[in-house]
Formats: sequence, structure tokens, C-alpha cells
Amino acid sequence: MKTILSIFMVTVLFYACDTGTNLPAPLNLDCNGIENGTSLLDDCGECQQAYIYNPVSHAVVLLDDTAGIVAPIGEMIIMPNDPMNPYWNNSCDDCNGIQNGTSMIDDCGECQQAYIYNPVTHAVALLDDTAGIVAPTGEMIIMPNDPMNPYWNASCVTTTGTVTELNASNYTVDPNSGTLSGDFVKFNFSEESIVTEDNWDVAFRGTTIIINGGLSSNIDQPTRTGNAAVYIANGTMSSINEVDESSLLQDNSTSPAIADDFGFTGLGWCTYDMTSHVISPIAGKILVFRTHDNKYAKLEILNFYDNPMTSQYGGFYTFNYTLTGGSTTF
Amino acid sequence: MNKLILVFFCPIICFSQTETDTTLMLSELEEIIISATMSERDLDKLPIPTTIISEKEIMLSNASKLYDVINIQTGIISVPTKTGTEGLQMQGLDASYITILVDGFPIIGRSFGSLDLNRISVTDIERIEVIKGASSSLYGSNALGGVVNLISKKQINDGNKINLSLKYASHNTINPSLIYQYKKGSFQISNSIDYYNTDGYDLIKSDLLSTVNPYSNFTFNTKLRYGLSDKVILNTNARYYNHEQKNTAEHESSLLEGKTNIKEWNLGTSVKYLMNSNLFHQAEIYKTNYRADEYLNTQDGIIFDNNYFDHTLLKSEIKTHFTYKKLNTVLGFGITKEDLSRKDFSNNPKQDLKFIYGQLDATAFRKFNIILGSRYDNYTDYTPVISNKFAVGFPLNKKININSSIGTGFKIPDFRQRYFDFTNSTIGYTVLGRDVAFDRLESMQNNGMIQQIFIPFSELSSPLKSETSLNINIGLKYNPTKKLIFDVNLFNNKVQNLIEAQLVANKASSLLPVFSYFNLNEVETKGIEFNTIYKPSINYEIKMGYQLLYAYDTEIRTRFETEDIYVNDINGVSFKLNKEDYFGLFNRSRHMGNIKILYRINKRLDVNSIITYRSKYALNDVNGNDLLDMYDEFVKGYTLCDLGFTYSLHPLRSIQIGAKNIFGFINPEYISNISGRIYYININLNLK
Repeated sequence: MKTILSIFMVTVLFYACDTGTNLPAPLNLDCNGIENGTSLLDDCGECQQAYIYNPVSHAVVLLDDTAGIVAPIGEMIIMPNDPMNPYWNNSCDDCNGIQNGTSMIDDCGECQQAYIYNPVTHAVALLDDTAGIVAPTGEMIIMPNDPMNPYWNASCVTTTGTVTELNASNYTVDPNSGTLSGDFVKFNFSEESIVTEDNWDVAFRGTTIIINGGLSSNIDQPTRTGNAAVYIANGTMSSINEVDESSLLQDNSTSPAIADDFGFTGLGWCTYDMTSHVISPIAGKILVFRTHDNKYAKLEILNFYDNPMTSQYGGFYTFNYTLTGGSTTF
Repeated sequence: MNKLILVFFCPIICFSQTETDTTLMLSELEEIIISATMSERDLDKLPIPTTIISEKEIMLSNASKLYDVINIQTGIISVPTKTGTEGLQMQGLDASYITILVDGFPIIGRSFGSLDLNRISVTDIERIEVIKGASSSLYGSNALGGVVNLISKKQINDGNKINLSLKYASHNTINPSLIYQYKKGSFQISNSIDYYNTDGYDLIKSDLLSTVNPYSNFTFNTKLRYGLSDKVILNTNARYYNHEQKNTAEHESSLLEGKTNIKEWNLGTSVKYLMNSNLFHQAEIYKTNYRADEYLNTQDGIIFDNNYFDHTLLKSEIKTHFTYKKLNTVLGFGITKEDLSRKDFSNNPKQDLKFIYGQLDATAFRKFNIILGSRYDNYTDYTPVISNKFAVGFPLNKKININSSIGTGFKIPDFRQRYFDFTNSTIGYTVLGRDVAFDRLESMQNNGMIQQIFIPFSELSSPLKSETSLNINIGLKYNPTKKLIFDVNLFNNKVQNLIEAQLVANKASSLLPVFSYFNLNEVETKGIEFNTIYKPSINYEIKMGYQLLYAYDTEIRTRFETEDIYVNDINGVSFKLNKEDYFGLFNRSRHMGNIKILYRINKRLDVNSIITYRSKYALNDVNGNDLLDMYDEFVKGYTLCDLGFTYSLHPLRSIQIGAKNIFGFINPEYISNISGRIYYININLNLK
């Protein structure tokens, strides 16, 4: 009887002790799954490992656990959250380098930022991150891929078009001084239309062509508000594929960038035939523009008259053009 | 395909014919030519390319003026100028390079360098000698492209001779003329009067203007020849020409009307002293004046524009001809004085010339004919110019003659290129002659009137150089039978220092250009000319001619090789041209040809036909590159056919009836000197 009871007591004691070892003791696992490992979760939610870094060869050797690791001579151990670690928090940087920023890469590979847009002044204020930004009254926040954003995909998209008989014929010539007078007709490439505001790229009056960049050479010219520039290239529309930025000229106070010569000198875009009194575009001349808002366009003037001809003085521009979104390649 | 119009005339008075009509005989006399060497030479042995237009041909082509007969010669064409006058083109060189003489005396009064071929009447002309190629070694400036010399009729037999000619043609054109000649012994006088009147014509009825306005003119000629003694011969020529024409222009949709009046006179006297049969001297003095006045009034009678041009030339020359065995020598020297007074000149310029020339014409080794000539021209204020010519001809065998010549020619800048001072009233550009440009531009600049200078003014302080040329001809004359003559000539002309207007500067505030003249260009004309005469019988003769011409601007040709040249297509889009796309100079046809057929139907009736062809040519550039390329607008090539019948009642009387341009070809848009079919009837009477 006494032995059965003691065996029973020992078994109970054993059993009591065993219960403690049935539940495993808790382990310290890092985000990489390594016990007591040194990897850490960064603010973007990415598990970053420590590594040995060789500053000479820039070699990176990832470590599961720095414990017991001694860096070879000339190399160093970098902890995951070391400020020197470029991988820390970089996965949630936007293309602009802003952590959790709102910039996006468009289909052309350009990093486009969001911005605050003022529809009255057309002013654009770029934003790194729209978080916490409230647009002032009358202005709006435009996200990069908003259909309203003209910059989205603009750089690798070119538009081609033809403008027929743009009417710049409202001009008169003073026979004594030979000076022209009349209104300039302003044109905008992006909108492919005549504009009346300051958003013009190029303006026409008779044979005179001025651009929205530089200085005015005559008080009857519209004020320059943009950064347009132009030069005349020799070639055909298909042979001019690159903008030669060093050739771009702006209008200045003596004369416009495109020689304003009625076609007499052959240095402008046209020639004037003194027997037939006809203005014709010189073959092989392509006008290359930087628009007022820093896009690029090439243009070939085809005709200076309307058909049927209503005026022997012409001024009806028909031209082919190609416009880029900002790239200097056509 | 030829529509033959047969008209039979019944003679009212019938005279029995004593002999066959020699003027229509087909046999050719040995043709004599004077102008090539300033002495009588046989045409078929002459090594210089020439054409002779005989009296017969002048008659068969119903020609009243030089324009009518020169147009149908191989390699020669007349081209309308900007002012509507007709100028000559020979070997691809234009009218300012061709000298026109009447009996050796020069005709003056050039409009934009060209002499109007409609001014010169041919009713009393015996033959026209045309020398092709540089002839400055005898004739000086302006003979760079050749010379046309009209030789007037000379009476051979004693007694009176009266010739009356009446012509009537379409457009109410009447041309009566009378020639009176009298010879007795060594005294001879010849007078002719020629009157011409036409209504003109209008090719484009829809506009205000006529293509050619009505005009009338008359020419009066007197030639006197008197042998003062056995050895001294006196010759005097006098000519007077008066032309009046209605003048119209359009300005701002209303018609301007006025008149043009031209008066011209020439007076020349020469004394010939025959020392012996081998040597004679000749002294001549010649004066000519050409005056043109024109005005235009508005419909209210207010003067809109008027213009005048008054040009005088005085020439005096002494020549010596010396013959020794087979060697002919000519030596001459002289002076000319020219002055001009006209609108748009800052002063009345004068130009003086002293010249001396010499020529050797020899036959060596009984076969080789060598001509060597040289002339020295010294114009005041210009570097003297020496022109040379060397020609050699020899028979390869009895039937073939080889001819070749090489010569240099020159043309002095004309008065307009030196003294013009003109500002266009509607547009406002200015053209300054080279001699006035420097001072005018300097003063404009000092007054702040110049905006930008493209050519430094210092380049204008030296005078313009003469235009010069080098001409080479190589030819062959093949005479296989008595009935067939075959003639081919290859020619090449290189003309340098051509004077062109170029932009010098532009004016402040208006930016309008100021032009002046510079020696800029270089052109080359080259080609082949073929001529055939075939006379199978005395009843039938056929002549054929053809010229192939390449004429181009040397600098443009080089540009095609070194740069990219572009052209605008029909829509205005540019594309690049290839080297082969350059056509050449304006107003030149690649191919020109003619066929002349003369057939004797019976002793009294002849029929003749002249067919001329000209291939396409262009008048100006239309596609934006300032040169003539294959894509420019061309005037289509065309053919003209003339048909005429000559009925001779008598050696002293003949009637001609026919039509020129029988198919009525016209091209109103581009060709202003072809008016459609022209019917004509001529009556020619020889009275004693």
C-alpha cells in the first residue's frame, strides 16, 4: 500500500514538472525569421538586413545576424537602420526621392510631380508631397496623372498638325517709309489655335514673324511674356530630327530673330519676286522653335496666300508643324 | 496633214517671159561674206561659223522686219524682254552680247541690253550675215556672242530701178515700201521708204490690256555712192526711223494710257582711197542718235509716269586693207564717243573709246586658211582689253573641210550698271549703279539711314570689270555631192564676271534693300549645231537645221555638288534635289530645229514651207529655290508651220500668198509674241 502511494506521488510530481516543459520557451525572431537576428523592419514595412560593406569595392554582403561577426580589415558592419544604409526606407520613396511622396513616373519615364495650379494666372507650384497640403482659394491641387496635367506623358509624345490659311493679312505698307502696320496674330502650338492672351508662342503679321521670347523691336509688337526662341534650319521636315539648342535665338530690340526682310535678302523665310510681286517660302527652310512654355516645335511654311486668292498682299499662312512635349528630339 | 490651200491667179496682163525668173532659181551663186573678216570671202571656205540669210529667204519668209527672218535660222531665236521688245539669242547667249550692224555701222539704243528686232526693216536688204561666236577681235564690246550685219541692196546695172512692194497681213498689218535706185557710171543713189502699220493683237481678252498695242513706224533710207575719181570712192548712208505706239498699263484696276515714241537717225560717210589693186585705205565717220519718249496718263488725263532715253554715238575709224599673194591684212583704228541722257540717272554719263585692231587672213601650204585677229580697246576709266581670235580651216579631202576657231570676247558694263539711281515708288527698294553707289551709300550712312551692311562699301569703290568670254568652235563641212551640203559645229562659250545686282545694305526703319551691281556670275553654254542643204533637182530644195544646247550657271552647278539644294513641291513641302535635277539657264531650249522646203510646181509657181520647233523652256523659278530645276514650270515645246505660194507673172512682178503658223498655235499665258495664224498677201513690182 505505501509503495503504490509513493509511486503515485512521484508520478504526480513528474507530471507536474513535465507540464512546464510542454509549452516551448518564447524565441526572439527578427523580421527575417532569424532567432535573435539583427534584421529590422523599416518605416516602409520592408525587412532590412545588416551587412558587411567594403567601401573600396562597394561590395555588400548581407548578414542574418551580426552576433559574433567581425568585419574583415577595411570593411565595416552596417546595421539596418544605420543612416549610412541607403536601403533603409528607400522602397517607399517616390521617383522624386521623397518618402511616400506623390510623384509618379509617366509612360515616357519622366517623374511627374503634383502641383498647385492657379487657373487665373496659370501659375504652377510644384509639390513634393500633397499630404497635408490645402490649395489656396481659387487654386487647385493637380495630381501627376490627372488628365488635366499637360505634362503627363508629354515629353515622349509629339503632335503633328497642319494649319491652313492662318489670317495674318490685316496689314498695310506705307509706300514712303516701307514700314508695316497692323495687328499681330498670336498662335499657340499646344492649342493649335490663335490665342489672344499671353500664352502665345509665335505671332504673324504680313511677312513678319516674331516669337514670345526676348525683347520687342517696335512698339506695335505684343509684349514678350515667355521663353520662346527660334532659328532657321536647312533641310526638310523629315531630315530635321534634333533641336540644336545653341542656334536658338530670341527677338531683340533691334530686330526679330527671324530676319524681317519682306523676302529681299534671302536670310529670312521667304523670297520676293520683283517681277511677279509674289512672296514664296524658300525651299529647304525649317523653323525650329522653343515654345513659350519650353516645348519644342518645327514648322515648315507652305504658302503665304489663300486659295482662291482674295488679296495679292497675302498673309494667309499655311504650314505643317510638329510639337514635342518638352523633348528636343522630334 | 498639211492643209494645202491652192489659189490660182489668172494674170490680167500677160507678158511673155523672156527668161526664167532668176530670183527664184534654185541654183546658188557662190555666197560672199564680208563681216567675218571685213573683206570679201567665200562662205564655204570660211573657218568661222556663219549663217547667211539671202534676199530670197527674206522674201520667202514674208519678212518685213529683222525679227521675222532671224527667228527661223538654226540656233537663233528671238526672246521677248520685260519691256515687250524682241531680243536675239545665239549659241545660248542673250541679246546684250550680240552686235547688230547695218552696212557695218552699229545700231544703238538697247533696252535692258537688247536691241529691238522689230526696229530694223529688211525690205531693202540684200543679205544678212550672221557671225556666231566671239567677234570682239574685230568689233569690240558687245560682240561677245556674235554679230549680225545687214547688207543693203546695191544696184549693179546703169539706169533707174524702182521696186514697189505692198504687203497686207492679219491684224490689219499693212507694209508698203518703195525703193528707188539710180546708177550712172560711178554715181549711184538708192532711196527707200518703208511704212508699217498694225492694229496689234490681244491674246487675253479678259484683262484690261492688249498683248501688243497698235503701232506704226516708217523707215527712210538714202545711200549715195560716188566715185570722185578712179581711186577715190565716196559713200554716204543716211537712215531715219520713227515709231509710234499706244502705251497702256494697269494700276489698281484702272487703265493707264499714253504713247511711246521712238526717233532714230544714223548718218555715215566713208571715203575709200584705192592706192593700187592690193592696197586701199578707208576713212569713215558715223553718228547715230536714238531717242525714246513715253508717258502714261490716268483716265482723268493726269500724268502718271513718263520716261525718256536719249543715246548718241559718234564713231570715226580709219582702215587699211592690204593684199599680198595669199595674205590679206586689215588694220584699223578709231575712236567712239557715246553719251546718254535718261530718267533715273544721277548725271548724264559719257563714254569714250580708243581702239586699234588688226587681222591677218592667209592661206598656207595652199590648203590651210588661217585667220588671226587682235583688237585693243581702251575705254576711259577702265583697264584696256585685248580680244583675240584664231581660226584655222583646212580641207581633209575634196569633200570635207575642217574648221575650228578660238576667240575671246568682252562686254563693257553698260550705262545702267554704272549710273543707275533708282528707287521704286511702290515698294521702296533702291538700285544704285556701281559708279554712284559708294558716294550715295556713304552719305546715307552718315545720315543714319542705313540699318545693316551686308557687303562692305569699300568693295564698291572699284569700278566694275568687263564681262569676258572664251569661245571655241570646231566644225566640219561635208559636201559629198553637188546636191548635198552637210555642216556640223560644236561650240562652247564660257562667260565670266557676269554683272548681276546684289543686296548691299538695308535702310533703317523700313529695312528695305539697297542693291548695286557686282561681277558675280559665270555661265557656260555649249552644244552642237547641224545644218543640211539638199537640192536634188532645180525644182526642189530642202534645208534642215538642228541645235542642241546646254546652258548653265557654273556656280549653281558647283553648289549642287557641294551643298544640299532643296525645292518646294506642289504643296509647298520641301525635298532635296539631285545634281541631275538642275536644268540650266532660263529662257533656253535644249533642242531647236527647222525644216525649210522649197518646191517649184511650174515655171511660175513655187510653194515653200518653213517648220520650226522649239523644246520646252522656263521663264522663271516658281518653286522657291531661285534656280531652274526639273520641277519648275516649263513652257511646253511647240512647232510652228508656215506655208506660202509665190506666183511670178513676169521677172518684174510677183504675188505671194500664204499663212504663217497655219495651225494657229498660241500660248497666251506664256508666249506673247505668237498671235495665232497670220494670213498674208504681198505684191512686188519692179518698174523701170
